[in-house]
Amino acid sequence: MRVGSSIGQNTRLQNEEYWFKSSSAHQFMENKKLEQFRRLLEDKSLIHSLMPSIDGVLDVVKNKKTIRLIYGETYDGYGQTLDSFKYYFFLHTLHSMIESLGLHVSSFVVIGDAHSVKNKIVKDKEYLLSISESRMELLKKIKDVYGLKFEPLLMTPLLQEERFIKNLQTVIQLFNESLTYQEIAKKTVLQNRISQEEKAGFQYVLEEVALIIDYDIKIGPPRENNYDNLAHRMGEKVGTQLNGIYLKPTYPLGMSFDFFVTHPEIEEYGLTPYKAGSNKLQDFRIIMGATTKDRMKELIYQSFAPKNPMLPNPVYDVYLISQLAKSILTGTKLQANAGILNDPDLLKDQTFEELTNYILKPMGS
Amino acid sequence: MTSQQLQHAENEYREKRVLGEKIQNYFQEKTRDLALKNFSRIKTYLEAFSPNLHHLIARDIVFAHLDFEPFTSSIAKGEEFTVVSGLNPSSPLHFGHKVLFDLLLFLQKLGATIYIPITNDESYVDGKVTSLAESRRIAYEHIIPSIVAFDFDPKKTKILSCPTTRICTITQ
Repeated sequence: MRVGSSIGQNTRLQNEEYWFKSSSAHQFMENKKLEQFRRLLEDKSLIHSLMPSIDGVLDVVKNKKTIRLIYGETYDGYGQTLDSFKYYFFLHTLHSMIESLGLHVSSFVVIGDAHSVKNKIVKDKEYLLSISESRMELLKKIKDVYGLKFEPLLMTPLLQEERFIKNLQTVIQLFNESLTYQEIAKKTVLQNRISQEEKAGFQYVLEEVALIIDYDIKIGPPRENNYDNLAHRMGEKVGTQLNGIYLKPTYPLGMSFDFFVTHPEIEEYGLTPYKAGSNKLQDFRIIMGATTKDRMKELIYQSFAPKNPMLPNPVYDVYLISQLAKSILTGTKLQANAGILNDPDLLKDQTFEELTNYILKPMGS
Repeated sequence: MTSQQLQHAENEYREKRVLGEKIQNYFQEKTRDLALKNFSRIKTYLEAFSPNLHHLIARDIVFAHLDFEPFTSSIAKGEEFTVVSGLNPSSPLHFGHKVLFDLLLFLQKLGATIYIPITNDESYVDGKVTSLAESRRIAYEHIIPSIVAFDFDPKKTKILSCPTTRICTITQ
């Protein structure tokens, strides 16, 4: 009886193994993973928008064997924001998910030292360049602590690479030949800086485009859509196809609802996630190694945390970052519970607890 | 339901829809003509801040505003702000006035001190009453007692009227 049962079990296992290896089973698993990938892209609590669309991003994944992902950030002198972690963690999650589809994935986080000092109004240029290495070290530490699957790169050496120089020549040529591209480039700068950029030949924008044009997917905040749109359109001429995934905007902590009513531009676009001093609101951000734990608690508990998911919710954003960290550290599925929005007090309690457990403690803050 | 009743219901529905569109267009036009801003954005935030939103706001009867945004800071911080809204005393209050005073009461609960000028002199100048004495009588015998009956907070309400033709005083 036992022997028979054992034989029966073995046969079943062999059948299952055969089934999994069969092409239909493989197709079934792939479809399931693609569906999971689509669900990630449709997650409204995390993702603001896509360029050109969800199907565009899915097509890239379906049709290519090697995928290159990029996230780039500049910085200021106030330090490393917690908000950048959202992009590192999302990039890693995206990387892992595409990898699970059997594709070869390379991901990069570019620290834009050169572009951090490019703007005329930046005063402490020498200081900012001098801290580029320490920014890289911190990024490597974050990568190691969480085992993130990306390669940190510094921008300055990239600008000297042959690949970049060649891309830049092509981009400049395309730009000079097309009024449409010139109009799109204008959208990347504030109205009051257009003439300044025109004098500079839109160097900042074109360098940015040359850097990203041959990647498959770029992630960033919604404001970067204009750069990426230019790279996407120019890519059509040179045979590349950049897609963009934009995460929900970053908002200052510790503010009541009136702040968002009286600052419609921040309500719409948020702050620059990677620049702590964006809109001079550095005192209302979590800056790693600078903001004390007590201050973080104060910021979280004093924040406007609406139940309406359509309104800015900086606390939920920190909750989400902590949940991403938890999912990566514990190897479990992302368990962000949007239902928690209905209980702002619980949201604040859990946010502070998870922030402590999955970000501050692992980072030794 | 008979086919006749059904037809009647359909017609009524169509008429109401047309009327609804007309009303909506009217308010949109007014908002545009007077360079006002739609109140819906502020309404969404007020809803999040104070779940028991007044029905005048919840039902979009307050449809537009002009620079109301900074007052949300006073509301959020519990700081005092002031609101002024008055009327000409030409006859006792009618039901339509209730909309205004209900809204003033709601704003008072959010921290506002309410100023209500009762402009009896203006009623007379405008020809709404035949004499200044008549508008004064309407103000003191009808309007002010009716406003008091709304149960405003006496410490945060100032009713202004002109008891004589020359001097205006503040009645608390």
